[in-house]
Amino acid sequence: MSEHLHQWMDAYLDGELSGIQKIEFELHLKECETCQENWKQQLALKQALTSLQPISGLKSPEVFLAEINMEIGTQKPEINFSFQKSLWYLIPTVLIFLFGALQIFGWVTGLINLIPGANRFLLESLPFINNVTVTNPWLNTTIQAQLLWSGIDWITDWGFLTQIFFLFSLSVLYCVWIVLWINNHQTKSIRV
Amino acid sequence: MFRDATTGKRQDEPAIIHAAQKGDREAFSHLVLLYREAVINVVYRFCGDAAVAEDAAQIAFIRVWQHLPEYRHQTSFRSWLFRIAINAALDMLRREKPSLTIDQVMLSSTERMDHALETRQTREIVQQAIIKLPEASRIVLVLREIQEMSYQEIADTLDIPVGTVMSRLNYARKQLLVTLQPVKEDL
Ligand SMILES: [Zn+2]
Repeated sequence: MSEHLHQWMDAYLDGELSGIQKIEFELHLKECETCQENWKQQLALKQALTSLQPISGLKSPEVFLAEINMEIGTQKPEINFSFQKSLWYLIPTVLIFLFGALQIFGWVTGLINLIPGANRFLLESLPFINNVTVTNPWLNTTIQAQLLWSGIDWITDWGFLTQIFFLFSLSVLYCVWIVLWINNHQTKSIRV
Repeated sequence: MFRDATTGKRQDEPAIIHAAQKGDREAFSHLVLLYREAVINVVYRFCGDAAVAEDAAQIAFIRVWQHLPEYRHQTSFRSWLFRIAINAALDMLRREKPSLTIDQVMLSSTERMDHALETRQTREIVQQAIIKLPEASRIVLVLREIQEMSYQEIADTLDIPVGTVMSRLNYARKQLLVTLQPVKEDL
């Protein structure tokens, strides 16, 4: 089978063989009677298929177009914005940004801590946050408790490696999410 | 000719598509007229019914208009359009069964043997032999022989690997040679 290069017959016929393959096939074709016979049949078939006349349609192009336009009416092409669909990329994006913001916040407060008394200045310059946590101490403890309960220590306290690792796993999660999304929303292949 | 539906106007085609995506009806009409025959012919060779082919083509263009903003230029417009058209045709064919059966056509074609009719009858037999093929390989054959699409373009249109395109095409041709064996002298 393989010495006859049968699998190349179609590709040769359709002009899909590369230069070297083409030469190789032509050399074989010259010498092999089985392939020559097959080649003749393929050519005859190709000719028969080419002889099929194109049809021009029963309606004139104008009528064809006018009917389509009537059906479309005044509707404009629209991207079907679906909230559910957009959640697929919104959620991971928001998570990434949130984490980024938290990191920056961590670095900034870390820097400020290096300046003596700056931390106190920061807290006092944010009277609202200060006020809320002072007057509602339960809020502070609830947030802290929840973070601890869910296994997350206060993120700004993390070491450099932990942060990198967390960021990395988040990125992996994000990529997996996106791949799943693309896989789910790819245009459906034709059902044949 | 329907074979080169895309040549001639190819250069400004991306611009026309872009305009149509923005809602330009004139640009869309241009695309319809540009591809009308190509779509009708592919569907016609696929299903053998001119009326179904034309209806499916119209439905396809309506869907194209509705989904134009989703077309992303990763594949050729032709591939995208034919995918929609083929799906529209399959939807239609699943709803209504073709009225002519193969045997009827074969029978009526042997009734009269006058020479002028002979080539027409041969064509009819060839068309019926195509219809006899399983859907999957039939559509590959039609896209290759009627539209002269490259293997890659067929793969893009049907969303199948190039290897599958090749094996289905090979199967289709083998089957056609078997089916057309008795009438081979006329080909
Ligand atoms: Zn050989």
